[in-house]
Amino acid sequence: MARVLGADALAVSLALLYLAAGAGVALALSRRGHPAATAVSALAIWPLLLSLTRRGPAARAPAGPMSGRIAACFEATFEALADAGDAAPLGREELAGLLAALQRADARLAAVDRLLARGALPDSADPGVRDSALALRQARARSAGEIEAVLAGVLQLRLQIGLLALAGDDRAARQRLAELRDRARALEELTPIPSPP
Amino acid sequence: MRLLTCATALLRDPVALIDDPDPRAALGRLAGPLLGITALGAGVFGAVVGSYRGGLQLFYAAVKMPALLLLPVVLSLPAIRAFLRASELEVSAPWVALAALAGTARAAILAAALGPVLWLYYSITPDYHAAVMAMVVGLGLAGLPGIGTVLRALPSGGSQRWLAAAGAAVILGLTTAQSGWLLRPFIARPTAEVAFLRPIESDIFSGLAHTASASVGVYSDWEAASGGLLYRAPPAQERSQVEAGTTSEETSADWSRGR
Repeated sequence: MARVLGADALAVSLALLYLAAGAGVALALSRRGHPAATAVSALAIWPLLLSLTRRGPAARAPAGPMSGRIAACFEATFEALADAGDAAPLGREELAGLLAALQRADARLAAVDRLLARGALPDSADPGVRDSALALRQARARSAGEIEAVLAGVLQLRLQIGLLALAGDDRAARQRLAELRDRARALEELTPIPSPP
Repeated sequence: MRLLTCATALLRDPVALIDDPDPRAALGRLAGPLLGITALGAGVFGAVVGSYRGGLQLFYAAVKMPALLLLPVVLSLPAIRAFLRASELEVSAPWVALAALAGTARAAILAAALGPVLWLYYSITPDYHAAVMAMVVGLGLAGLPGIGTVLRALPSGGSQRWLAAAGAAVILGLTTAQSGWLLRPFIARPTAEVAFLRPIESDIFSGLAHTASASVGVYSDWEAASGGLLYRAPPAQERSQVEAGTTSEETSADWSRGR
């Protein structure tokens, strides 16, 4: 092979093939709702990230306390998109990323709930432990509030998809989706628990 | 900011970063920052290494050094996972990938931290072989904690863990050595040509055998080929000096060997 192509040509061809495979994996990761940084990383290290393409994180995320509401909200929105047909302002996969982010946030709520329910944070005389437990509960409440807000935004998005059939302007729906993505991205960020005084 | 948070976690408690209950989600979340840290850290180290030659080599080495850390990991990971599973250590592909990336990123941070020391050493213009040895030692010092991080994060249980760890280390070491050979030059002599990549030839063992014999004064017929990708010849004045034999013996030998 090297004799036919020449060593340099073979090396360049292999490099291009590697990059092409990386672009394919990056596309698959992007469609599954992974962060953009992860998708871009696949261009360089796609063999390491291949396992992420086998099953979407949304399917794997354990159910959290708001999973039912999330599923119902998105099911109705997916139906609205299907009803809109070719006039739909956005694709199903664009919403799927948002759904995956919400399900991950919901799963983190479940993990915190389990921690609190198991008595892993008992009432302690130590003020530091008490403050940390309080901070954890507050962070949980904030996260739940954010999920509620995103769900309300998805409801508005669904209404805008319906309005689109009459108005024909998809800018509002796209703007709404962009806002929701930003909020979902904020949910992915780790919120530091304030240190006890 | 996220890079800094991730770098802090890598230095303070890397095992906690790897030991996530959902490694698939963690890999999806952390792959980007870990790769960014590796690129930045190894890039800084590469730039320092390239500063021995200076000029374009500084840029080339900065670009190639992250590849030197990542390429062996990408190539050897399936074999390493097979070793671990043969030792009854059940680790998922996302876990192995996350652990490898975290170990590599930690090594890259430490390599960058060693950069100023290496730079100071290169500023006194040491001998070429000493400069190469300093780079190898620096990479070894930075790499060992990275490997240690992965070993400490391995799940408990299994049988003959040491055998799996040793096998993984041997595979990683061999692929790293050959990757370094393929991606050379990182350090070029001040009078040598500059090339992004040397022509593909021979392997690391031939190079080591030649260097070992040359170090005791026995020179073989083997010579590294000159040229390569983005090859640039040295300045004409230096070349003519070498060809006329007006420079030192070492420099003349370097040029005739295409180094």
